[in-house]
Amino acid sequence: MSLLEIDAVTKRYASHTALDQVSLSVPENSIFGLLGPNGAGKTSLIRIINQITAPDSGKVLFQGQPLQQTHINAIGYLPEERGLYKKMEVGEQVMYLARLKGLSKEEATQRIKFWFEKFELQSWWKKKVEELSKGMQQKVQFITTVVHEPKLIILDEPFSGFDPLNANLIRDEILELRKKGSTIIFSTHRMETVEELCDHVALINRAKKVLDGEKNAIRQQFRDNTFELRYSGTLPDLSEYAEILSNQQDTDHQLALIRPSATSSKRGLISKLNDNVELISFAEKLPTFNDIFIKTVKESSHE
Amino acid sequence: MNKIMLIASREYWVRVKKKQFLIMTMVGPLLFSALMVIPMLLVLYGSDSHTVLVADQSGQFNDAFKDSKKLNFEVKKEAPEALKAGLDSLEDTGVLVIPADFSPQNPSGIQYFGKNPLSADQEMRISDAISEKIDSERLALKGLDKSFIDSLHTEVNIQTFKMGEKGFEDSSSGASNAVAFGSSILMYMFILLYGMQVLKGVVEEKTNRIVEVIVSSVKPFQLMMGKILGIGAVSLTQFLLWIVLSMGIFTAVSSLVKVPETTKEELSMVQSMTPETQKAVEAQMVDQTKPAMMKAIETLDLGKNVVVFLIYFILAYLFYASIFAAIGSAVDNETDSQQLLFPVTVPLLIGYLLGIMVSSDPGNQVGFWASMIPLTSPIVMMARMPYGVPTWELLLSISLLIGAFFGMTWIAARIYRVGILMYGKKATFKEIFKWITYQG
Repeated sequence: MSLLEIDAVTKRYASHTALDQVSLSVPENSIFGLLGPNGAGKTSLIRIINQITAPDSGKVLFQGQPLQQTHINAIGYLPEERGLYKKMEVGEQVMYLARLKGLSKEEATQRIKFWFEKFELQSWWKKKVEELSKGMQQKVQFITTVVHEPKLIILDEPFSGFDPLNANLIRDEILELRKKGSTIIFSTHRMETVEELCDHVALINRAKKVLDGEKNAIRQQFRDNTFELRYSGTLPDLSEYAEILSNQQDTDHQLALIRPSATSSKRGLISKLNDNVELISFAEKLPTFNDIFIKTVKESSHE
Repeated sequence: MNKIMLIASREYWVRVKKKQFLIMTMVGPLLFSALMVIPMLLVLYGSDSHTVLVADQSGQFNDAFKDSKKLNFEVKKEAPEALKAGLDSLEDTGVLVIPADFSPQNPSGIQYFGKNPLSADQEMRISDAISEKIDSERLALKGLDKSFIDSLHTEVNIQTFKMGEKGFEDSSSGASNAVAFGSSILMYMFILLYGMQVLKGVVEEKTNRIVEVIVSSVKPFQLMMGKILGIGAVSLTQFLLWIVLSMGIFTAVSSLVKVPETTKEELSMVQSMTPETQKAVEAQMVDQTKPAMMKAIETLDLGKNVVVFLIYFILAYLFYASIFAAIGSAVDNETDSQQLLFPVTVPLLIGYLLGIMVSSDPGNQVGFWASMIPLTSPIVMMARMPYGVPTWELLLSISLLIGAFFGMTWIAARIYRVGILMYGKKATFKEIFKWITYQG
């Protein structure tokens, strides 16, 4: 079942169209990667989901119902441009934002304590935000996003500003939150995190959705029958089995990219290789999301 | 609604807990009471008294100069040159030389040599004394006797009354003027001061980028109203604290300064009089102790003035604060706001200038219209209040202001909603007007 259903949403501003008939379905309890180059319309879409702005046309369904005011408390949003009141005390600030999300004072206190202990921030409760390091401010901001245990968490570049240690901490929390039943929409430019974390991926370019689906399915879709070959020795003539795309020295061995021809068997290819070189590895080269991103964006931009 | 209150209470406490608030709250009443107390002290203790030596070579002015609190005269027989030479070593302020050939027919050649130039007040006293002397001399020459002349001279005091609800009431145009002037300036200051706070708050949230987080929890309108109400509550708190503290300081100081005024000498003088005169003199003394301004203020219905002031201030603040919020939303930093502030500061300034004008000329037609038009009405109405404003005019003006407040808040909210999410470029008036019509 999908938690969030976006149906043919269009949003126009005075001078440009930010979203053009975008439809998406975010499955419940998944991590959904929302990708796209800068200015593609991701932020506009996120703002519509957050009810900061309304679409000009199209529908957004949350748990099967059209978006309404009450849903706001079931959504947590971490914007890309982080912001906190600099002069306010940390504890007070998190409390304020939690209460704006509809938590009672008691509930908020309890949950904030839990998170502060988890992130080892207890001693910072009375400190002003401006006295915190950037990494700590990010942690505080993350807490404000999830403190009300939202069904849907929208994270825009959640790892920016974190050192690897803290980035790991946040990554573990994201996985933990999904385990507990939250759904996470994840907007980022770091393709390696997409590969690592996301279950589903959608790509928006120039206000239009250009790619959408389950992460592995997309990968399959972009397979281009390329194999990576590591060996030592001299590569024999493979023309009857495969096309050699590249072949070069890679530290202590050779690395070649080959594309087997459709008619020949791989078994024949491998035995031919085995006869001539010392084979270290032979594996299909799956496209990375980086490749997929660049390829799709380029193609859709030329249309 | 609940969320508006949450926002308002944050805005309130953040500001009230600040050091600036405490300082402003303490310094404000000190300034205000200084404004009230200093004139009183001046009346009581006066400035230093000055002594003018009179070198009357004509011999006609033996008793013409009457001493007053601030100016004493000593008629000297010495030559003017000697007096002038001795001036340095004496405490006296100067020497007034009346030439030997001075006569009522030829009143010229009078000179003053002083350490400092004469003040306008001193000069007036001296020339008054001289011209009075000349007048009486001339009249005497015509065969009129001094006592007859004195009997002609009458002091005229006009006691003013204004038409009130219970017939004519005692009033004082001086006090009305002062209260009118003071309260319209206060209104102007308060609107500007707290309106700017709203603008700063909005800009701060925008530059902090926290606005994006907040509007994902509340509607922009709730954020705007919460901020306006919270800061409004701060202003009322400060205002009430000021009133209470000013009253306190004023009462404390005035009870302190009353004591030395009744010196023993005067007391014994009073005691030696008949009971009736004693009473009269005491009453007069009490009357003198109270500064004229306070006496005059008592003739005004101060309670009503304060209530009306508060009503107008709250409405005017709400009206203007929403404009300030809209402007704040349209800029990225405070310095950019100057140009957009133009449409707010101009009507406020016009109101301020009209307020000054109306406080000395309350019957003015322009004053009537300016106290109806919502942009200027809060300030100008304050200038008219002490002179008495018909109830229907008050009600009409207040209703218009309430209507304008709703209209302006609606427009401001539509601008604000778009503005707070626009980063990076300064909006022009044209763009801002477009925002009003934006969807969603």
